[in-house]
Amino acid sequence: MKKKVFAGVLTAAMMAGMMAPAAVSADEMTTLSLWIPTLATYTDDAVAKVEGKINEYMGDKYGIQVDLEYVEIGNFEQAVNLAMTTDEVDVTCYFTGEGQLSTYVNNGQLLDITDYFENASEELKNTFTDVEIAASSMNGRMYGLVRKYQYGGHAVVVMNKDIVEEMKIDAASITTMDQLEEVLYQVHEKYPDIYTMVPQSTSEMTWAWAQVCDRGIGLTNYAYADWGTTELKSLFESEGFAEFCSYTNKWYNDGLIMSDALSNTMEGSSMVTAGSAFCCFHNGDVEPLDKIYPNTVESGLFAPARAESTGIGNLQYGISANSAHPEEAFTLLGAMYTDPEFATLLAYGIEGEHYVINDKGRAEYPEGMTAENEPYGGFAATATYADFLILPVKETALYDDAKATVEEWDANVEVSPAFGFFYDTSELTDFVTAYSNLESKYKDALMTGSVALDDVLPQIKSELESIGFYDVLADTQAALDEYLAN
Amino acid sequence: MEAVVKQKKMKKKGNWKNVLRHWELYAMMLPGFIYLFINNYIPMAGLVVAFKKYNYKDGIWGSDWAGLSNFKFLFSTRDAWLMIRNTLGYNIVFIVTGTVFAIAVAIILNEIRGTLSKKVYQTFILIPYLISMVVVSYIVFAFLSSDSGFINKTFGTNINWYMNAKYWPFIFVIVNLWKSFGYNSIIYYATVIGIDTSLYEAAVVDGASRWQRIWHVTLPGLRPTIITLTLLAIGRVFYSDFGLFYQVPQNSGLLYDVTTTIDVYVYKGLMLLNDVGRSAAAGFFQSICGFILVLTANLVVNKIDKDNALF
Repeated sequence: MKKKVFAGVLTAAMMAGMMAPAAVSADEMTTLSLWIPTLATYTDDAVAKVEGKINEYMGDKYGIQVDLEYVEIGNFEQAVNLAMTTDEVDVTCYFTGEGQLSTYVNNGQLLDITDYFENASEELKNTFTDVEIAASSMNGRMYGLVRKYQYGGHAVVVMNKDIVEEMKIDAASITTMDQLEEVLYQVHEKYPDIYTMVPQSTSEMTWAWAQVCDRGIGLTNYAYADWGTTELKSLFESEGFAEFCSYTNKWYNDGLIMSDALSNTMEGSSMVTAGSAFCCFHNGDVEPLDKIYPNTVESGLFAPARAESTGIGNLQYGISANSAHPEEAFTLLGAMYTDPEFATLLAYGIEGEHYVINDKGRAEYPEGMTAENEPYGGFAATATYADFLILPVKETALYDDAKATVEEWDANVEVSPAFGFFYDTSELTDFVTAYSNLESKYKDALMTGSVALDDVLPQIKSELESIGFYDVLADTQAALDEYLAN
Repeated sequence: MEAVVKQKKMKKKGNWKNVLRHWELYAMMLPGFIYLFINNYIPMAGLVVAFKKYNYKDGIWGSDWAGLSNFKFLFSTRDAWLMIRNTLGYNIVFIVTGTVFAIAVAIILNEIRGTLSKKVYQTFILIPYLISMVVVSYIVFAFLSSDSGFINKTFGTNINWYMNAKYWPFIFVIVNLWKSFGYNSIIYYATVIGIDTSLYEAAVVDGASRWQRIWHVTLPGLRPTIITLTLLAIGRVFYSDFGLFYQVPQNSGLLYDVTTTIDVYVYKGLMLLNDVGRSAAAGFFQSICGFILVLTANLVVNKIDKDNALF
C-alpha cells in the first residue's frame, strides 16, 4: 500500500512538474540577427562581450536574444544583400540616400511593417513625424523606420587649422564660392607643395548635394532639380551643377585641386587633418565637424540646412522579408527606438568599459581610452545606430539636449518641394542601369574640375538621348506635376 | 533481335562485374565524385534564376518566370556593343600575347644552365601571379599617379593617365602579361623539360643551330600544351578579370569606354539594383558562349590535327 501511495505521489509530482510553466532558458529564446554598418574598428571579443550583456537584458525584458552582425560600412550593402537571400537577416540597417528604398521594396527584400507599426505602442508611433513615416514608405505602405537624426544637412568647407591660424583666415566668413576662391589662391601661393583642395571622399568632390541641387526626386537616381524648383533636369543641365563645375574646373586648371582627384582613394578630411591638403567640401550637421576631425576649422555655411528628396531618413532600419521571426524582429526594431538602456548598450557598449558617464552626466571615453583604442567602436561611430536622440549626450556635444537641438534643426530645415513624391522605376531597370553608368562616367570628372562641362555637354546630351533619358524624364515630370497639383 | 538483347544484358553484367572486381579503385574515386556532384553539379539547378524575376521573399522556386528578359539587360543599351567588344577584344589580345610571351620565357628558362638561378627566376616570375589585383592596382597607381607617379617623375611628363582612355588598352595588356606570364610559362617549361633529349642530341649531330633546335624540336613538342591551354582560354573568352578592369583603373569614369567589360557592367548593375536574376543571366550567357566556342575550336583542331584535340 505504502508503495502504491508513494508511486501515486511521485506520479502526481511528475505531472505537476510537467505542467508547470518552465523558465525559458536562453537556448529556447528566439535569436534574432541584427545587421549594423560601422565606420569604426572593433574587436570580436568586445562585440561578443556587449552581445552577452545585451542578451542578459533582452532575455529578461523581451524574451529574445540578439546576434550582432557588424559589417564595415563600405561592404555593408553587398554583404547584407547577399545575406537577405536567406533567413540569415532579421533586423537590418539599409541605405536609401540614392533612392534604394524602391529597389529593396521592388525586389521583395523588406517586410511590409505597416500592420505591426499600426498596432505598436504609442511611444513608438509618437517617435516618428509624418515626414519620417513618409520617408520609409512606398505606395502608402511602411517598410522600415528612419534613423532618428536631423533631416538633411548643410554644406561647409573643412580647412586645416594650422594654415587658417598662420594666414589669419576668417573661416566663418567664407560662405560663397567666390570667397573660397580668393582664399584658395592665397593658400596655393603660400603653400604650393600641398594640395589646396581635395575631394571629400575618394573621387567624390562633395556629399553636400543640397549645395549643388536637389537630387533623387521621387526616389530615383536620375531626376534632379535646381534647389527650390520642381522642374526636372538631367544633373548635367542643372544650373547649380554647371555653376559648381565652372568654379572647380578653373581651380583644377590652376593647380588648386589635386590632379589625381579622379583616382584618389583617400578621405579628404584625413588629408586636411594631416596637413597634406588645405581643405575639402563637407556635409555638416548638428555635430560640429571640427570636433570630429582634429586640427580642422569649419567654414561658414555654403548652403543652409536643406533636406533633398532622398535626404530624409537616408539610413533606415527594417526587417528582412525572409526573417523567420517577423513578430519578434519588430519587437527588437521597436526597442532600438524606445528602450534607451538597450539603445545605449548597443551604441556605446558597456558602461565603465567602453564609455563612462562623467560628473556632468555626459558620456565620454574612460581614462586612457580614445577612438583609436576603444575596442567596441560604437562610441566613435554613433551615426549608424537607429536612434541618436535617446543616447546619453556626449561630452564633446555643443548642446545639452539632443532631442531639442534636432527638433529645432528639423523645424528650420528647407525641405525639398518634391519630398514625398514617389516614382515607380521597377519597369525601368535597364534604363536605370544605363543612366547610372552614364552619370558615373562623367559626374566625378566634372565635379572635381578635371573636365570642363562645356567640352563634354554635347556628348553627354547625345548619350542621354540614346538611352531614352528625356522620355523617362518627361514621364517623371508629368507624374510629379500631378502629385504637386493634388 | 533476341541476340542483341542478350548481348546487351551480357554487357551490363560485364560492367557490374568490372566494378566489383575493381571496387577499391571505384571507392577511391567516390569522394572526388561526391565533391564534384555537390560542388559543381547541384548548383547548376540554380541556373533557373537566370529565367526568373527573382524576388528575395519568394526565393528561387517561388519567384515569377521572366522568360528571357534578364538576358535583354545585356543587350538593350548602347553599352552592349562596348562591353562585348572590350571583353572579346582584350581576351583575344591576352591569349595571343600571353601565349607567345610565356613560351618565350619557358624556352629561355630551359636555356639557363645554372640550377639555382633557374629556380630564382622561376620564383620571381611567379610572384605577380600570386598578388591580389587590389595590390596590383596600387602598384600601377605608384607608376601612373600624375603628381607623384614613377613615370611622370622619371620622364618629366605631365600625363594624367587616369583621364586618358587611349593609354589603357596598352596598360591592361602590360599588366595582364606581367601578372599571368609566370604561371603559364611554368606550365610550358614543364612540357619543355619533358621533351625527349635524344631529339636535341640528334639535332645537334645534324648540325642544327640553337634557333633551329627551338623551331624544329621545342615548338613542335609544345604544340599539344599550346592547343590545350588555348582551348581552355577560349572557353573563358566571354569572361573578364573584374579586378583588372575595375580596380586597376580605380573605376575612373573617363575610362569607361575602355574598361567596361561584361563582368564590370554586371557588377555595377547588381550593386545598383540588387538584381540576382540578371547577374545569373550574364553568367549563364558567358558560360554558354564559352562552351560553344570551346566546342567549335576543338572541332577545328580535330579537323586539322586529330591527335591534339581535347575530345
